[in-house]
Amino acid sequence: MGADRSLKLLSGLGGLALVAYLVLWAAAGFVPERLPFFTPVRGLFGLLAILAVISALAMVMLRNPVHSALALVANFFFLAIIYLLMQQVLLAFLQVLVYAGAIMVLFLFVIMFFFQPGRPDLGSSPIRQQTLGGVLFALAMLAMAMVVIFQGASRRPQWLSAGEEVRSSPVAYLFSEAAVPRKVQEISLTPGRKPELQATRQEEEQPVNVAKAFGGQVRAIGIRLYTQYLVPFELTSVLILIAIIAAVVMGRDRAKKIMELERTRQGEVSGE
Amino acid sequence: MTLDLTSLYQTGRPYINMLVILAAIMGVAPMLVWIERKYLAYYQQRVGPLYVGKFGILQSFADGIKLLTKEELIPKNADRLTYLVAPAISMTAAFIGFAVIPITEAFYITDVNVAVLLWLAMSSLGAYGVILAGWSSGSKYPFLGCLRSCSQMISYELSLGTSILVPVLFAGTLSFKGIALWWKESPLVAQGNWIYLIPLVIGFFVFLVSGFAETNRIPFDLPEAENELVAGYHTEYASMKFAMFFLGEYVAISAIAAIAVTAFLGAFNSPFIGFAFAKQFSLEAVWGIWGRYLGQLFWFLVKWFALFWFFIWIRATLPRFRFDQLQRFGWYGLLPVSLVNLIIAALIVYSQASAGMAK
Repeated sequence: MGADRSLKLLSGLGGLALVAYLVLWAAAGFVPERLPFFTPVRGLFGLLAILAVISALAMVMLRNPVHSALALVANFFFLAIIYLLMQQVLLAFLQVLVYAGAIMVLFLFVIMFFFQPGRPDLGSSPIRQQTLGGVLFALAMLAMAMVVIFQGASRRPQWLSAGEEVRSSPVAYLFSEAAVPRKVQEISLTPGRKPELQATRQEEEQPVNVAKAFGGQVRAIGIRLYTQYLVPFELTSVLILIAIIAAVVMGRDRAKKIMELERTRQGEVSGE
Repeated sequence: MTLDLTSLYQTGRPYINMLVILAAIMGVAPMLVWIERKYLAYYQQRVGPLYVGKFGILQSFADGIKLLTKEELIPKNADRLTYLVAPAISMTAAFIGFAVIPITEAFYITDVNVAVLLWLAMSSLGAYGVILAGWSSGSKYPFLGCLRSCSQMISYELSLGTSILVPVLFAGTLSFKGIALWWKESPLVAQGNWIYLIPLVIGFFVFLVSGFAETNRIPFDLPEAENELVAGYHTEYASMKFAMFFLGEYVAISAIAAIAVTAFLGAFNSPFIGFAFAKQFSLEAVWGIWGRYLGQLFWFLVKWFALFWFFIWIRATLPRFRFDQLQRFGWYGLLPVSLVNLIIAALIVYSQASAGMAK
């Protein structure tokens, strides 16, 4: 089994990389002046990045589709934690809620029917030139990511108010000097909205007041979504509605047939 | 360098609270099992656990020791890794819900402004425990149980999420602590504006019913219906792994009850908060700030236990749904009701806001 051997090799290499990284990170804790790049946040990012890559590779290379799906869920989780590191709290939890919590459950629901444990698997049927296409696609994605990273460094997201110097791109932020924990109170994400609830808070002196900083994120994204980006937003919902209706129409014919079958069968039983 | 205890406590407080709440849940869950068994026995005119400790109060602990010391069994057909991981997922997802529940004004683990989303995400992850357990056991009954659980959770998650949006909309925040603090200044309490009560009551009903379904409780316990599926998704589980499912179920019930208290029953605030005499008799008048926290703890626990008892009551009273009834009830009943309810709530917020602007 070529796939199995490469999987073993891969997991070995991944494990080695993980251990080497952890050693480096721990060393950086003891001699921070020698390894200035490894701040705690960046260190955590590197760890999560390695784990995300491993889980993504596992998703592609595992033979059992249910295991692949689970590796994908794990990948979603690591990505969500990376989003948290980039201070994108809303995005992180939406990622877990929507992808891991809803979509993958539906995927599993279907996959589970066909692949029971302890049965010989159905065998793989690779699409021709899959590898070539995969490599090309990966390169295209890499190019896109590079554009975002290097262009994002000179651009700021629109929901951030003025006065934010380095926080421009989440990725650039992670690699900037500002990725050191600091007081989040400075962020003013909610311009023009008085913080009623926050006035009653007891512990204003807490070092990092997470709720205060990110409450604005939900609100700011919501406001943008319903003003500036209203048309694309509504168009998307119309698209989803069409898809739902299509699914109902396609499903109804079969459901009707099945119901008729049921009815005739019940009629036979009660007729006897 | 002197040790600054106050600042140490400030930074360490979330972790301390985490440990305290975790220990409290671990300690209380066996007691909840005992209480449930006693109550069920009472409703069915039996005696219930009797021999271990006074009134059988230590029965759950004895059961726990028994489960801990039993032999580990892994079915031959099982998918080993998944089989072992599933109970852990089930229990962990249940526990994480408590991270965002404010038990008093000052006693909570964390207060993120996406707390509602966090909890919804975690409760939807709880489905993975059940699904993977059923699939990885490699036998028919657990698999049927897991399929049922899968579709059930997907259907009822929608109405669960929609119904909890009502207090979110009223309070204007996704943080549970924000919602809890909102209750005190809410128009319902501060101005006696009863119109706010309508969507809250309907939302509470929908939330509770979906909560029953999410935690696989009677009348929605089809994933483990014992007269059809042996024990459903955990048929093949024994010893400590079964205990983890069991514990996870009770923790999930506790979390649902705690969130229902926070979102719909006025959180840790006293129910007499709107009345004048409440100020006179409050513990705050006697013991200051700590008195207030103590009062909040008291009311939270009282409300939470009342809800937990309601869960037992329902279990003792209602028969199980049939599966098509369950799906029909979820999609044709609860979901439209909660959607219309959300629209009503939005209209109330809008009309009250515009009325406030006109003044």
